This record gives sequence, C-alpha cells and structure tokens, in this order.
Amino acid sequence: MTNADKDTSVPRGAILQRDGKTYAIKPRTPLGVLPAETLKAMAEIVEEYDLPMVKVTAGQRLMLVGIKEEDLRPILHRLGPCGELCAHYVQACPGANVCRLGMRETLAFGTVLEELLVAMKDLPAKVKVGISGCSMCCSESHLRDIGLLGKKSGWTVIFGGNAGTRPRQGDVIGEKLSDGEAAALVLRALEHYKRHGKPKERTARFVERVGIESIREALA
Amino acid sequence: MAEKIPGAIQQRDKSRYAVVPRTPAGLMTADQLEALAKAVRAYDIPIVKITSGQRIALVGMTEDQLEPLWNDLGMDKGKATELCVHYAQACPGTETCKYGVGDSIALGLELEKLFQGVDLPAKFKFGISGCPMCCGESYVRDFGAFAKKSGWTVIVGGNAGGRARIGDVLAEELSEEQVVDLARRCIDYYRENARKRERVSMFVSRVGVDAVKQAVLE
Repeated sequence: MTNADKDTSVPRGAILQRDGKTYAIKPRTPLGVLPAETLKAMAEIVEEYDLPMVKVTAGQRLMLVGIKEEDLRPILHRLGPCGELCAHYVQACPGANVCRLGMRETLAFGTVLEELLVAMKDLPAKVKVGISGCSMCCSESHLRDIGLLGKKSGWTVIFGGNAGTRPRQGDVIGEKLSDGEAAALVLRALEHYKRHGKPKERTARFVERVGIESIREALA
Repeated sequence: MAEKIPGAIQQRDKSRYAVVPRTPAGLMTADQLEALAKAVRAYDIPIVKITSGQRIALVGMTEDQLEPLWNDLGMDKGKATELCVHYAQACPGTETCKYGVGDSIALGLELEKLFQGVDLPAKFKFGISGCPMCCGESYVRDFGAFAKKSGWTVIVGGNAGGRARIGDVLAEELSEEQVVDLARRCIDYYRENARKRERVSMFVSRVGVDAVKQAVLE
C-alpha cells in the first residue's frame, strides 16, 4: 500500500455538494474523448456506488454527482488516468480528420496542448482551452481562456475569452501559425499570465486589467 | 446543410457518419453509458466524444450500421444540422450544486421538451444556469436563463461560434412559468421575422434588442 492509498483527505478537485456531505467529480477526459473502457468504467461506478446523477458539462467533461467522501479515492483510483482531477481542460471538435468542414486536425494537436496545460503548475486561476478545426468554432474558441481556430493558412490563437457570469469575447494574439508556432504561443501566453495574473484572476479579467496591447507586446 | 440520412452527419470521407443521441440537460444514466460502451466495441466506432452542447457524438459509422446502432443504444436521435432546437444544456442547479438558486435542470428539461422538433429559421440552443456563474453558458446561447434569488434573468442572442456574440438581457426577476412563456414568445417572434438560416444572434443584431423587447414583452 502506498501513501496515496492511505490518504483519507478529500481529493483536490472533488466538489462538495448542496447536501453538505456528498461530492461531485469531473474526471479528466482530454478533449472530451470517451474510449469504450472509460464509458464502461463510468457505467460500472455509477451502478455500484448508486450515484444519483451523471451529467455532461459545458466543458466536454462528465460529472459524477453524489459520491460519499469515503468512496472518492476508490472511485478515482478505478478511473486510472481519468481520475487525475484537474481544474484546467481542453475541449475540441472532431477536426479535419473526420469533419467535412475541418481545416486543421484537432484531436492529436489538442492532446499535445492538454498535456502542456496540465503540466503548468501554479496558474493564477483555471484555464479552459477550446480548439476548433475551422472558423465555425464548434469548440467555442472565442469564449475560452485560450482559443484556437484552424484556417487554411494556419491557426488563429485567441486569449481572454469567457462564457460565464461576466462573458468576454477573447482577443486574437496570433494568426497563420503552424502547430509548433501555435503551441509555443500558447505556452508563452500561459507563462505571461502566470507571472502577471493576480491569484484567482481569470484571463478575461487579466486582459481587462492590463490591456490586450501590453500582452501582445510581451508575447511578440 | 441538408443531410442525406436524417439525424446522421456525413463525414469527410463521404461514406461515414456521425450521430448525436438526445441527452436533454446533459443527463445520462448508467444504462446509457453501458450501452454506449458496448456499441463502441460492437461497431468499432473510431471516435466517441463529448460535444460543446452537453451531448455525446459518435463518429465514423458506415451507413448500414446506423439503424442497428440506434436500436442498440435505445436513445432518441438528436438534431445536429436541422433547422430547429438542437438542445437545452443546463448546470446541476439546486438539484445538487451548493451555489444553485434555481432548478436549472427542471427548466432545461421543460424547454427542451416543449420546443424540440419545432421548425425554426436556424438551429437553436438553450443554456440554463441555476446561478449567475452561468455554468450553462447562458450568455452565449440563442436563449439563455440564469437564476438569482429574485428570479430568472433571460438573455437572447448569444452565440459561441465563429461569429461569437454575447447575448442581451431581455427580462429579469421572472418565475419559471414566465421564462417558459417568454421563450414561447421569443420563438414565435423569431420564426415570424427572421430570415432563413439567420441565427438568433444575427437576428437580434439586425433588428436590435429594443425591437425584440417591444415585440415580446408588451
């Protein structure tokens, strides 16, 4: 038995519910992709633990609701890599490999971005990324902290969008970028935000406070 | 875009299809998850992914797999390209969330039930949130509502797509019944006055939110 198995504290990322005693979790399902094993594991968990609600979220994740505190760690353990709860996420559309409108491939590239994002420690607040393979923006790229949309000429990168209580349309910080250039710009933007954002300040508020021009200059 | 097979979206290679089962308010049961897992294996479905509208898309089936797949899933066909209501998304609201002040799931389910299948000028999406944090993305859906202690705020003309638009507040402090009634008036007004394929966001931009208010609030 490892130390992690013995740990009885509430795992980070578990959300206390209205009843004051049960929790909800949003397993890590990068890009909203659900392989058969994940679906099966979730179905079994819902049955076995008699969970009252499973819900698809607005961030292309599934939320398992009504988990008893003592069941949290066993459930996360069973979910394997999906049990690594993370505040950040990347959502994606199916992209150019399958969608007839797609201009750029999204799923493989989105996976690279997801790993890059999850590896970033100590960001000021949660960061949501939306990567869309064409200008239709099925991944809501204009309304996410970081958005990418694919055009024939390359990626457009958008920063500072938000779809919540104070919605904001993000600003374009780069255009006509290759996969590598877009990933590098996203990384630079995140590092800039990490250095200059205030604790709990979402990117939308950060852009409003410092101005998009100062960010564009810093990233140039 | 007209589809050859109703309820199925033709893919890039022209021989494969995607479908999106109906999951009102994003709710799923263990049986549905299990049926999906089985179907993914049985039909060797290459991509199963969550969409931005609290639904699950199954991508890459051949034409002859579609009917047996629907039978196996036992779920209703969702709309994905037709000009009508595609979905109502909702956050958990007072049902389970500690921040919830309104029952967003109940309202989302009711709106979806009432208006699904109604022909409209363009596709139409609802976003219902149980508090002002707007986890149901109410400001960026065709028709959104979020709850405060004093009642529901209704927003129209939001869009999260390529021509993104943050919606306008139409009314505040409404009861659930008043939201449903206002949704009906908005949809009627939109049906009668919008151009074909004009999304609510484009429509509100064109006629102005004051004209919409005048038409639906008097």
